[in-house]
Amino acid sequence: MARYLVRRIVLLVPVMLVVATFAFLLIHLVPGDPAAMILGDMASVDDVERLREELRLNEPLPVQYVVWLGKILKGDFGKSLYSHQPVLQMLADRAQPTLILSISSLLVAVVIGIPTGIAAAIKRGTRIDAVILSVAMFGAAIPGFWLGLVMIMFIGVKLGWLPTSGYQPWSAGASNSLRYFIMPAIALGFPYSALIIRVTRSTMLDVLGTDYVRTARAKGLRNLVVIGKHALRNSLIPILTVVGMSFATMVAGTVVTESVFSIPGMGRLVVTSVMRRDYPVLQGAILVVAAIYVIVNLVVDLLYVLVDPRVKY
Amino acid sequence: MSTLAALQEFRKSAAKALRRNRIIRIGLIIFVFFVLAAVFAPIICQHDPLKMNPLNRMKGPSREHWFGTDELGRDLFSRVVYGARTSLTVGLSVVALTIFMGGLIGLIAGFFRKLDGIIMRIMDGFLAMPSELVAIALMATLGPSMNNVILALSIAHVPRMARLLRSSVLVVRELVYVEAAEALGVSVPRMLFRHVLPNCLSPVIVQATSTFAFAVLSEASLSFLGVGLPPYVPSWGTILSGGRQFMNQAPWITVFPGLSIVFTVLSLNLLGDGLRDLLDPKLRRISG
Repeated sequence: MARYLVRRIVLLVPVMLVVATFAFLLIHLVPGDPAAMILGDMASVDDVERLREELRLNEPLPVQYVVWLGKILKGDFGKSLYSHQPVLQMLADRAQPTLILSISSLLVAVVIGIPTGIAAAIKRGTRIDAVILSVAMFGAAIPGFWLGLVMIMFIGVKLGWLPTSGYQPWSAGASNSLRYFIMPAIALGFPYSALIIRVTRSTMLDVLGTDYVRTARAKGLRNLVVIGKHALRNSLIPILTVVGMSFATMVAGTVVTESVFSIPGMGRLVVTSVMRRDYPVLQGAILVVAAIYVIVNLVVDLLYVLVDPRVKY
Repeated sequence: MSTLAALQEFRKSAAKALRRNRIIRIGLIIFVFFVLAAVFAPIICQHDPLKMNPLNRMKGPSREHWFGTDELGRDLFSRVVYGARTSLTVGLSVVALTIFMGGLIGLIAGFFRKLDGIIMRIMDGFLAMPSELVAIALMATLGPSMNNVILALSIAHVPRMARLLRSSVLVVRELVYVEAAEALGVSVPRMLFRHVLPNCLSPVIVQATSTFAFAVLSEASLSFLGVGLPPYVPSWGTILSGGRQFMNQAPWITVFPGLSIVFTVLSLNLLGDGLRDLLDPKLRRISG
């Protein structure tokens, strides 16, 4: 297990190196002077020259790369070109809303997805199954940001049940803060619950057809025990995989959701830094999101051992 | 198995095949509907999707303007129909580019063992970044335009396609007929494109439908965020972006393009599901 963990972590190095290289090259993708492009047509020659100095653009590309990578490794992500704040500080300041949003969206997806998927599997071939499958099919096709807009119109404005936008920090009280996250979490989580429903249903169907489930029933075990202890437990690996994948992409999905609900998180920071061509911030965000992504994947792989003792690393 | 049970089993699988076919059929009907709308947009629409009319802003649906008018007095129905053109153009181009680039990379990685390691490490690195984030980051450099959206979304999806094709190539290259072709001295390009590639295509076709759906969804969200298509191009994303501030006075600006996205993506997902079952009998049981 320990050896496996070390090997996995070593394997993350080339992956993160590719991510870092992509983030670094982003600024050089377009022919011409990146400094002039960042500042736009209105900038003076002096300003452009100053920015070239600041970004070390006058040095050869490999030198720039090594210097930049060295700084990143030391935790120096540079400063925003716009606000001149340290990038890492800016990302940290906006981490909380993004974290709350991602986790509550995951909860929405799991709480809707798994029980509904199980219900569909138990009621396979019935009308209930058909309805659940159709809803899941539609759910997977709904763009989260549009679902958000529609909820703002109906639940937020027409009915006035929930705040339509904004954010309250966790320190303002959990229930106060969470009120702001109910609609965003549904907007981001619901399309993923559709995915989880389908995976849960199909794995449960496979497991429900096995001999040991029949044996469990033959022993006269209660239905709840058969489903919960025998069937679900053995369906958990594919479910865990899809939940992990969903969580990792949800972190990226916060970019759009936070913009719809005006939540001042990392996702919104990405959009504003794209518009301002604030490359250091964008590069920092890419590195952080990719790091979260690979860590979540690693954690999911490790959870397999907990879920299924037969899995050994 | 008794005869009766066998008969029941047969009936079940036949019913299933029929149901699957129906899924493809429904998907195809919806998709073709949007394709026709996109192709015949100039004939269907009575109004110019770009013509503004300040006196006629945010009017609800009427006989003259079926979907109402938008925040600048443009006919929403025309904009949504022309939006189908934009979405399908973006989707189709992204699929073509992704298959071309990803296919080539996957083919090379799968066939030439020496290059495999380095190519797949690079692809793994890209797969560690969510595709939408890659696309948004690229848009920062490329700037908002249709070609750039297509390019950014394609690059974002190439690693997936490359990995998929590579894994099929790894299987196919071990088959006896490839060995036979090799023994006959078939040239490398001919080997790749005549013998290996055609046998790797069915997963690619399934993946193409989900790439298409991804492209439609992502173009809409990029344009909605203001980092995709420029605002004057009629696209479902730009319409949603423009109508957002007036959502409460003019909900139709938000409702119609959104529903168009939902049905387009739905049709592609249905097609993908149906095709997957049709092309890969091994998966039939699992997704049943």
